[in-house]
Amino acid sequence: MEMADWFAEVSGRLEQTSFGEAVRATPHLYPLLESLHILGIAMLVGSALAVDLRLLGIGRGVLPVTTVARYLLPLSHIGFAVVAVTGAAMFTAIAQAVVASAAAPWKFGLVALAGLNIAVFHAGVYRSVRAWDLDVRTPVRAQAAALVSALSWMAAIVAGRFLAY
Amino acid sequence: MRDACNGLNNRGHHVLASRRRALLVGGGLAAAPLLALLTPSRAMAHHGWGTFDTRHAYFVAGIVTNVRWGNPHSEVALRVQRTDLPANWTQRELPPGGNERNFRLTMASARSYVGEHQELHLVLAGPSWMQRWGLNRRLEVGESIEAVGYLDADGGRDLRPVMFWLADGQGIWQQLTAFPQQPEPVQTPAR
Repeated sequence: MEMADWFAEVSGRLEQTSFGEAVRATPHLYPLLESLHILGIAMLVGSALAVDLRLLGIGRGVLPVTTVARYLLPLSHIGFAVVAVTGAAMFTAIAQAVVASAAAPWKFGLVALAGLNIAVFHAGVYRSVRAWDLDVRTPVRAQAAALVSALSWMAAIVAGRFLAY
Repeated sequence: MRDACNGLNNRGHHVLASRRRALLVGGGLAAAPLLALLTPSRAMAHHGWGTFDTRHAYFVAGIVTNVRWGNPHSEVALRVQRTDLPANWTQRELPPGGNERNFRLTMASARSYVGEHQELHLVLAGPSWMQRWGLNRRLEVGESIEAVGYLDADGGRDLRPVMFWLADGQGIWQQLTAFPQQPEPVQTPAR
């Protein structure tokens, strides 16, 4: 309960800062941030899903996993940076509503889950990628990581939409 | 030569099958989050009327005690001072840009606010819509406004005005998307 009060207090102060005020009041800025946020999501989730599909076996005979990862993961990192910056800017404008929203723990929890999944994947099964780079069935652990990745990113988008409404 | 052709055919088959699989798996994955949308939710508090009980409209008048103006929508705290319908209620005209039918329905459904909250949280349109509906400035703390609208179904502290009036009588429309339930006229004996 005290924790919730603290969040309400801090978020209230955050949205009263001149930065929060500028995000709300500058003509066209908010819709522009929303647009960039969507573009960032497209880059992040689009490339993540493409990698996930490859790990699930799509294009196994023609696309080496390492090639897919090398070309798409940097794109997803740029996407994440765009999403984080635009998201943080919009958050300052409406912090209290976000903190009070039941969708917020879902959204940030799902993004955290997706991040944790990435860390586990790269520190774990991905180290042996040379053995299943091309024309070979991907290990079950890699497929599981792909499934967790795809589902958590997509669910994060859904939670994000509920957060905005 | 024949081997080469077979090889090509096999490869073609492989790619086709792979594409079909990509469509199936990708489509299946993409459909998963849609399931979440099938469950009704109360999260749509701001843009839509989904979380508001639009069967009964309530009138409040009071003093603005807090303003958070701007995108994506403005929010105002209103200290409730008066809840009786003004004497000229039936003569009030449709605010500029308003919807005639929803205006009539809401005016006919309007009743005194009887909830326990002394301060209501008003969810208002963003600045660009405010401008289209005739308000080119912010609401200020300390000014008096009247509002008629619908309460959130979950506690009733949020009031979403269909329209509100400034102290000088200027009416400002607020409704854009459809009501989930038809407002009921105040005289309905069923209530």
